[in-house]
Amino acid sequence: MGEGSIQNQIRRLRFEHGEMTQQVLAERAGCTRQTIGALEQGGYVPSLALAFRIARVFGVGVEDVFEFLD
Amino acid sequence: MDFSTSSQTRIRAWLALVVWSVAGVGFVATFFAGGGPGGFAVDSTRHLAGAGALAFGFFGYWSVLWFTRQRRGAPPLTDERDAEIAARANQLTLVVVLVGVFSLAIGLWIAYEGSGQVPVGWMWFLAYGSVILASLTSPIAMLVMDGRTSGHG
Repeated sequence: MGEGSIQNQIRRLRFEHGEMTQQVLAERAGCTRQTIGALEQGGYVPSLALAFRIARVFGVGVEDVFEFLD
Repeated sequence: MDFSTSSQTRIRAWLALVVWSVAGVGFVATFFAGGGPGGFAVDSTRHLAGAGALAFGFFGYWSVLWFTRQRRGAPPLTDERDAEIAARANQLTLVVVLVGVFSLAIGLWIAYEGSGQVPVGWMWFLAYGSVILASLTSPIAMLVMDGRTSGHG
């Protein structure tokens, strides 16, 4: 069974929310700017808790931010 | 210290690498200079120099931790990704130190099998060397893993 991959719409959502900077998103989501950068680059998969916090910052559901691809 | 471009994990890893590299070179130079392992056990000057190298490493690393500490009211400098990097780096460090100690022990056995006795100075090298190896491996592993999970590595 393959692991699949998780893609996200963080970069798009940041720009749709007044071109929010990575630093601002990081502070609101409770993580570091480097982690937001890593997420946008696809180099890191967040915990469920961080995924929910990021989605909450944008006021959307988790599945509007993250997508699981088989 | 400016964390705007690099994470605390990355900055600490680079500084730790520098500090422990200096300590490691200092200890190895002390150990092999002036008679090598055979005379190390009875040479108090070299004992002191070796201990000084290790002390420099610990004090230097402690200084790195202090200067790069989380300031009150500042944004968080570490998060779950840093914790994951540290955990994986520690796992790798354990394996590297185990392999290093095992290799040195076997190497000494092979080298001194004929004479039937190992110069006791090598025990100092094993003790100090394992600390320095662990202290060097951890930041290297952190830098590699940080690079990989940043999406640029």
